Amino acid sequence: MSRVPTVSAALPAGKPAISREQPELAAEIHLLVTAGRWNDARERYGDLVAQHQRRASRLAYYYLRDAAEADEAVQDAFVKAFSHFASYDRTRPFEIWFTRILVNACLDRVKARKRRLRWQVGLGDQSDERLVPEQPTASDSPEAALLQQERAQRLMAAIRELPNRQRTVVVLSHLDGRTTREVSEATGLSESTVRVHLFRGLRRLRSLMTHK
Amino acid sequence: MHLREYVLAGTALQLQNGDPLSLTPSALEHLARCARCAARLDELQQVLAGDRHAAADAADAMFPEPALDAQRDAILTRLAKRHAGARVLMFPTTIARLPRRDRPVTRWISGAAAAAMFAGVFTGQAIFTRDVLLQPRTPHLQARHFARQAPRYVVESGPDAPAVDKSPADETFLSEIEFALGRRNPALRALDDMTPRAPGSAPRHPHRER
Repeated sequence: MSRVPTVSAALPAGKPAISREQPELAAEIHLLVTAGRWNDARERYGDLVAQHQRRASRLAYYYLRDAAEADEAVQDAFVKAFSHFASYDRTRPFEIWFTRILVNACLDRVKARKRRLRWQVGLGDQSDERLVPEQPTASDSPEAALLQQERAQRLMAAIRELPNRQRTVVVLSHLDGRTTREVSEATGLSESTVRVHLFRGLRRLRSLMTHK
Repeated sequence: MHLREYVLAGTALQLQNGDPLSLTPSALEHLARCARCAARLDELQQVLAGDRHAAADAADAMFPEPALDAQRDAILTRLAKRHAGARVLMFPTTIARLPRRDRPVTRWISGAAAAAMFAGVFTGQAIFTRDVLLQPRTPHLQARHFARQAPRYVVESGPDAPAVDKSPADETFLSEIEFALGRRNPALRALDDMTPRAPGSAPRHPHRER
């Protein structure tokens, strides 16, 4: 008897949903900006920031693994997005446009960090280990919490080993739950290229997590 | 032959994200028939969902609600600074009045001083302008002009020099000089010896040669 693959019913309960797109809010801000009503636009932008900042902070943290730096990257991206709001195409989702800005901001910071580390002899990977979070988790037992924490650390470390494009695709698709089309729009890659990078990234990720 | 793990992982992700499946028809058919691959797909979905959950937990622990509120405030503050209009300084509405000079004496003195100053400036300018206008324009005419105006202190000398009329007083004066030199001041004799002489000229110190 044939069986069409479906989403597993045994999946763990997902994280609290991050509010999705409210296209009318972004469109309204766009109108205010183009009309030159900056103060009104800024007030409304606060609401838009509130909608997207949780997801943005997660994404930046996946890339940078440093809370302070992720915070700065998110701030920079939101400020940059507002400053260029006039160029935002309001027929398209703000989330995708903003993701592109944020990913570029994170990649710039990753590059800058690599340049910095090149001059710091002897730190290398140790400096990154400092950035591994030590936080309580919401799991039931201490053993489960420890396992989950260790798993998250291994995953983050493995993601960091991926090449930039694979990392972007894996983070957006795997961790952020974006569809191939959304990833394609956010990265500017074609959908087939996104799939290729996703498969290669996942294969490498599994390999890294198995051997670590 | 079973499906590879990364293909299954990609399929699991696509299922989770609501993406259309990118499996080939043969792979899809195999997945529908093969219980082992289907079980692995289920397992992978759980693993990937667990990864997503763990990563989100780790990130959310770094950004609790107060941190997000502070982040939002920081963003809006930066935007307010960035897009604040230029500051306009108000022009003073009441102009400070200068003290009035009502006393007539002070006014007359100020007026006279100003008039004298203007008269002086005008006179000086007129004199200067007159000198400039009277001065010849070309360089050789200028030289002649200044030579004519300057007193003749220069005495021309040399073989081509014109003969100068000598007055009796001049003759007396020159005779006195010759007489003084003829006395051969001993203090000047050493200097005299060092001075070169023209060949065939008379000896300077006839008393020595005697």
